[in-house]
Amino acid sequence: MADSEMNISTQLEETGSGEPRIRTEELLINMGPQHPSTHGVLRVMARLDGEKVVDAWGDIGYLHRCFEKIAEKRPLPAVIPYTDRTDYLAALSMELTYVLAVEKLLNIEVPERAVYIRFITNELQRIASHLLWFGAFCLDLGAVTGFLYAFRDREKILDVYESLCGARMLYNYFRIGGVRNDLYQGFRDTVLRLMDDLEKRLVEFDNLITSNKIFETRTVGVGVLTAEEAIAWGASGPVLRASGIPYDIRKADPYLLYDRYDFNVPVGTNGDVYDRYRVRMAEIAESIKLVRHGLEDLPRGGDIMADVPRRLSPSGDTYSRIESPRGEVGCYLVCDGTDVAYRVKWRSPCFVHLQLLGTLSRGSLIADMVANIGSLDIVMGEVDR
Amino acid sequence: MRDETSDYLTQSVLAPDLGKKGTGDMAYNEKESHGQSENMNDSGNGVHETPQPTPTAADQPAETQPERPKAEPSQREHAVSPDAPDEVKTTIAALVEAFPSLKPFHKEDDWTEVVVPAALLKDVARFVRDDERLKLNFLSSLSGVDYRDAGLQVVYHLISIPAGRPKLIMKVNAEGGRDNAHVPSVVDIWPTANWHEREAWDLLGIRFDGHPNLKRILLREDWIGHPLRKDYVDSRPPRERQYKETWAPPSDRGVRHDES
Repeated sequence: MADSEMNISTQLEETGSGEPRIRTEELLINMGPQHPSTHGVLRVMARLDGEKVVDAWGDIGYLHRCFEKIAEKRPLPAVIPYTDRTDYLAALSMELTYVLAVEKLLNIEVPERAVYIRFITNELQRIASHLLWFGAFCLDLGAVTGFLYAFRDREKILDVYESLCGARMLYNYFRIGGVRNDLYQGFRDTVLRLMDDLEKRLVEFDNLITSNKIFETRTVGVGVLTAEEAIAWGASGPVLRASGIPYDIRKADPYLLYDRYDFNVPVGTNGDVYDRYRVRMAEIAESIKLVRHGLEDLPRGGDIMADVPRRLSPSGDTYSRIESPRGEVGCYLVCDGTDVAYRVKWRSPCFVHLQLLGTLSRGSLIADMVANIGSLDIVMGEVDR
Repeated sequence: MRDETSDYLTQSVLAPDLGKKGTGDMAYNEKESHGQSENMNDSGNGVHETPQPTPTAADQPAETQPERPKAEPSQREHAVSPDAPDEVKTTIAALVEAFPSLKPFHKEDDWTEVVVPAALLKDVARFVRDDERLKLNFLSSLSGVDYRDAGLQVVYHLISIPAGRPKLIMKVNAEGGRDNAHVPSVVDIWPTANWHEREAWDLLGIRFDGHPNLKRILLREDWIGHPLRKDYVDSRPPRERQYKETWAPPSDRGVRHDES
């Protein structure tokens, strides 16, 4: 029989000791690029030995739009809407990274009120993004209820954004030197009420999922990432912190107002899927605290835009990085004195995290690979740019 | 439209003076010269060495140190100013001690920058990762930049975790000209460089020697050219031409003004 015809056969064969054993062959399977559990157009290849994953790797690029080339062709302010389209679930984080880079090159001092607005909206974004992750992750594990609950609450945050800037996902709200428009009447009360609500919801989520036996079985000890591996592979954000490294750019390298307010950096111990879940849920609670602080100290009036020259012509290069819900987002911006960027390079956390797929999945069950991908919080728009 | 943009860019990159006519640039020039005079005062006190007048470092071979298209203000100051953060001073001291030929300098905030010849990259990379004072174990970003005639450059942003500092920028100019630009791979030092280097190869055509799997990552494997190169020409038929052939817009408003 030809070798090629044997790929699905399992046969008995003689071993050296004379005892027959079952001879198995590795199977190469393909997941995606259109697959409900891959969070976008991600293709995952896995080599299986029975149900065990021998190796797994991702194939990306299905959503590539060469955003960095577009950014080299448009005037600096006109790039902001494109940054939204990279990480469409935390668009404000991407906008913020970009405007911070341009402001650093132009030495623009952003008015206090605009900084507060950025601070509050950005933390709201983190809550919305983590809620969506929570819902999608529950769905990955087969728990549909969590998905419905999470989307119900995320919807309310999106409503706030809709009232604020007219868009629910792709905001185009930050400007070089400030924000596009001021807060609307009643923003403060709406958001404060929402935060009170969310705090109760967190307890609800906790009761629903955290100590759920099935959930624990699926996540505890699955996809373990040690601290050394996490650092070597460039993991950041909740993935890094779940492995026990208390590193958060908001603490280590404060931007906006993070040096003014006290907040905890939740850290995991085992670096497994369960810890990544716990870290993200704890971060929602910290973000609620930060939003409250921000609303409390929000200046009553004042400018929301700095005096920005009509024609921007920065020169030199800079690197700005922020802590997005998914990890460290970086923007390396090179400008040559014209109003068009010479080079824009994004450091996107999901792109880096996808490299971990093999490390996390090797030796685990194929079903756990879905949990692994889910726990990394992948947004393909950001991976492919 | 397309030619206009690229010409504008070419002029300003190759001849920096041409781009410095707008009012915004004037303001920037003022600031730049102010910073420079401050630095001169510093060196007048005799505390620091005199900053090098030109960005071309004399001690490095010409092919590893192509002249940058424009001189950044920070590139001229190799001396450490007294108000630089401590980590920057430590980083500079450690680097100069181990590699006397390097000229690290304080870039901005608490970033140190150093231009590393491609031949030295692996040694420097291993040193900054393992040295007790630096421990730069986290490669935040690896970016390729096309500086046209000045060649291709790879920029490494390094951070020490969990402290978050020191922070180091390494700039490496690719060797071998535009057609065969190559840089040693650092995958064995920071595994995370794997996909970053593949991306730089895919979009900019920089080869990384010693990379285990240097294939295209974002584009199709049969793609022709490297799109982020400044001289990249899209080999696909222009979209605008197809559009005009099939349907003529009633007025100018319907015409797409963006390039292919």
